[in-house]
Amino acid sequence: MQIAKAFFLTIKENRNVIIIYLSVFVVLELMMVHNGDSTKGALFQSSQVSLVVQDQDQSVLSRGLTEYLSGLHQVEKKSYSQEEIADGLYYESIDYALILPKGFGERLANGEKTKLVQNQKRKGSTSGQFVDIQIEQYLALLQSYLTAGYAETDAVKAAIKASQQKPEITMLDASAGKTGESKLYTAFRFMPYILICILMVGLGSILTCFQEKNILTRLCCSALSTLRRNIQLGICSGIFAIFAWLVFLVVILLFSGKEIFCFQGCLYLINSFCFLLVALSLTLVTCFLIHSDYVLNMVANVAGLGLSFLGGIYVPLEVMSATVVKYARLLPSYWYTVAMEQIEDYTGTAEQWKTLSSYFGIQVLFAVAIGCAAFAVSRYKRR
Amino acid sequence: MEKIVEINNLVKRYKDLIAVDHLNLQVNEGEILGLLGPNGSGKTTTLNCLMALLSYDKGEITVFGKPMKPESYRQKRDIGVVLQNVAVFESFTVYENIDFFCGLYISDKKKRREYVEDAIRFVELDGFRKFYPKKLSGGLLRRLNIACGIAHKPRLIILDEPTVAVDPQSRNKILEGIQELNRQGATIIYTSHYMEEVEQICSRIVILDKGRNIAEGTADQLKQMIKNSETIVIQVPKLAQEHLAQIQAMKHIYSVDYAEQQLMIKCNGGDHNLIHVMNYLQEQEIVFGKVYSELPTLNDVFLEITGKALRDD
Amino acid sequence: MYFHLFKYKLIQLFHTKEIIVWMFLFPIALGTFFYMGFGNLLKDNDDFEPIPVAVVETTEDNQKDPEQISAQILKNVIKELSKETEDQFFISTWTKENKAKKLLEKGSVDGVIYVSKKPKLLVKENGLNQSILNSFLSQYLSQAYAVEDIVRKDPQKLQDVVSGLGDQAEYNQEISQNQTDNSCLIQYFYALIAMVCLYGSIPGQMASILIQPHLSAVGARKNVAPIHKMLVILADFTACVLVNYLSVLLVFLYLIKILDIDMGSRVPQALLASLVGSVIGVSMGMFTGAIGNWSEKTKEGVSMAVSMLCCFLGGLMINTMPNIIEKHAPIINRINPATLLSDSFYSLDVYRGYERFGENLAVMLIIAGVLCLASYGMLRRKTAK
Repeated sequence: MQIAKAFFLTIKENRNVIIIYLSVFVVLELMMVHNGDSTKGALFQSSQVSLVVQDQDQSVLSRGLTEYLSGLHQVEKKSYSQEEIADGLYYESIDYALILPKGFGERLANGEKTKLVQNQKRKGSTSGQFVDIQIEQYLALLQSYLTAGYAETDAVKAAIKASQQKPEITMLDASAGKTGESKLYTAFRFMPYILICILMVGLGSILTCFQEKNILTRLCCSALSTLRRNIQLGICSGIFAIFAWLVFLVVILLFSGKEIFCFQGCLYLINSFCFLLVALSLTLVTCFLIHSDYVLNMVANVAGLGLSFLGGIYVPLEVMSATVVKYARLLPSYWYTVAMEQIEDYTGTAEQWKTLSSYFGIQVLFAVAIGCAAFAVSRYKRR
Repeated sequence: MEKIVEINNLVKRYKDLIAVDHLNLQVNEGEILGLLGPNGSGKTTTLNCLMALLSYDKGEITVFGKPMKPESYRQKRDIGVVLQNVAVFESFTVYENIDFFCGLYISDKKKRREYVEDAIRFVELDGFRKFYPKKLSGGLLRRLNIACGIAHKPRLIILDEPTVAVDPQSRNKILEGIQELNRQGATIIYTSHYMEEVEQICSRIVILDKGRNIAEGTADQLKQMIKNSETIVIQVPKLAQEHLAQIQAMKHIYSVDYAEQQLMIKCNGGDHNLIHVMNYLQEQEIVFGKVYSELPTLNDVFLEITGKALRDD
Repeated sequence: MYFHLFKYKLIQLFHTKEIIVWMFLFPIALGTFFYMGFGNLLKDNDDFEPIPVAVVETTEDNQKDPEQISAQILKNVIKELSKETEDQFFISTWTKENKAKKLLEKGSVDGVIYVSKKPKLLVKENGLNQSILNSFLSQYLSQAYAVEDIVRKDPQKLQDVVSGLGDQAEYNQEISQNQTDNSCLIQYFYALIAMVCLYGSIPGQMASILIQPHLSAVGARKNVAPIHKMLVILADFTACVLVNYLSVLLVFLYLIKILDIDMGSRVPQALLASLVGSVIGVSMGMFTGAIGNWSEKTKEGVSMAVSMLCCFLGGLMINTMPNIIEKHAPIINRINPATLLSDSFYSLDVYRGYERFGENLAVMLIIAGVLCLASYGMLRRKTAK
């Protein structure tokens, strides 16, 4: 097992580099799992937002609107400059800024319906959109009461009361009453990027040593066949990959605690292991083609980020265009993501298990196909 | 004669290892000085210190009469270096490599163009101008390496083992080229552990071992330092002990050895030792076959002084 | 002499095909992947997809019960909003409760509306559409309550109130100080440009290694030549910055012209910030190439790891990362070149003035200056050892 011996000696020689990369990716993983909130709907839960109201009108109606919002959110009434508002929004100390210009009350009472108030919020902010809806709804009700001849003070009271009418909402399944994904989901979500990068740069820096022209020539002249050489390299790479995977599992264990020790946790583990095989195959094919460590780094980022974005890891699949989702099915990361969703909603039915197994199987097939391509490239290069 | 290079009491240590141990060396103008020594004797270290690539612990180095420092740009202008490792850009063609390195010494474009053309002609790489280094054979690559070092026509040329891994034809061309450079006026420091090369081209030789200068002089002077002036080897199928003793007793013969039908005689001095031995054998009607007579080599010199071979064969 | 060195450095960089191709190719590839991933969301697309919903009717035909009347109105509203017009809001399936629940389980509908005395909503998860359904029902109930309230006190006012509620209203106007109309996802592209700038560390480190005599034979040759090291370093440095900046320009061109991303009207200022970013990237590479006596591989690893970490903290993978860092360790944002760069682009987009942009640029120039001086100081002293 000379190749294996050389492999591990090379690891020993380059241990500093590997430790550096592992450390960086552990830090990245830790930060991702701690801060990688799902971008899916938080609208549903009416959460308190930090609001700034600039009441330039100071009328009964404007104060009524402020009172209404104070009942729902954290409202700051002090005066802010435009710069302060922009800063606050940027640094998220403010979620929403509402400006009630002079003449607001009068215009509302006169029946005007457009551009009575102004707002500023962060682009794409779901909580901001939620506040928009609340303000529109309240003002519509208030105007209705004013049209009906109510005095301003009474209209305000009545509008506030009317806007408190809510439908009864139930969840189909009690367990679906959670407000977001489980810790495990968040923890395993970013594994594809991490695995692809650590294997391509860490393992890749070892494998490129064996692809150096003179070394390769010597190996080809030796009594060791290409097949046996590649098998040894493959096994050693597998050991490295599993070691790296275990390191990140420890991180996840620290983050999610005992949650991982359940059937769902096992499913997440299997899913990430399947993707580990994909990442390993990708690494092998890349290392047979590319010999520069700098280029490997660039390719790792392109592959890792590309597969992650297109596979629905950083951006949910439901917000991607239908065409892109259609073609994303050709990517292993897509199947990793849909498997994650399936595991998250897993209740143990046979149908769910069948679907999940197929997702695992597809990832393994990807790994096998890419692995075969890797060995084909190796043989082609030898010739 | 002007002293081009003067090294006094040079000491260079790498932790516990003394690579250069109180070395004294002078290079006179117009000579080809050979630095000879086995691997690890301090040749390359000495040159690196001379070129101000390496700091040293003690001693003085002057070049062209002035102390040599990393910022000694005036002196560097007149020095050409051919390093042991091929120092060319893989991404430049032959022409571009020579032009680039010549350009570090010569700013004038017209003059530089001329010099580059001269250098290409000199190393006979005319037909390879647009080749990239990876397309060149070992010998051609070495020639390119030399061209990059001498294109700017320096007064002092330092060549550090320029013929390593080079075919005999290219090697001869390189040696001829070096002699030509010397004829054109360059002073040359040439290091090698191939004694044949050093003997062939160097006007003066310094032998180094363990960072010290153990012998210095022309090839003949060095050979005269040792006892052995001639080695005679004769194939003799049968030789009795008494004959051996009689040969041993001959004048100028100080060592006789007979093994496996080969008689080896070492002489110290004397001009006609071979004739005397042949006459004796004929008189005694001793049958003999092939006869060789070898003059001592620098390896013999080194062996006698240090007790070990010059080259690890 | 400078131009001689500069010219040949450029030739050398462009002849190192593998590296150059990838330096120009990888940001194009990444930009394309980002665009494919969330191109839909970049322009705040207002296209609304009707929500599939199941409706379970539990009303009785009793015109005397006001609540039943209210439920009937809700039923009519839903039917109206389910018509296949431009303003279609629902794709409704009217069915029995059991079937509706099955549809919800399968995911064929996003919610089940129970049209009854007290309307109810049954959902499977918390998502955007579910929130919209909630808002719809809340709005309906609020308005129904208000109408009933008003009618109870003054039935004459019913007509006015109902027509008033029917009128299109847009009370709330969003005022954007932004120069562009981009969503916050543009942050990914800012971070991508920052990454391209920081990847200048690759040619920077390669140049640094080719200057050091103990790391390369060419470095030894350069050291014995009669040129000031400052000149060699300067020529190599400027050539590397130029090449890296070209790749940045190419990215800008690609994003603006091909992907049609709105980078605002302050592109020249953004390009200036990118130039400083390139300087930082290259000097970072030279610095890591010059420090310590580590092997070339270790130095490469350090350089790449630092670049990746900076890019991650600058928002390349999670676009809100700079905001998170700002809350917990703001000092990192002040010194991370990737964050400073993407913040510069953001400030050009958000603020009218140039104060924040100027601050960021000043800090970046200081970082660039420190790295350049440190690199020069270390490279100057390098000998063969």
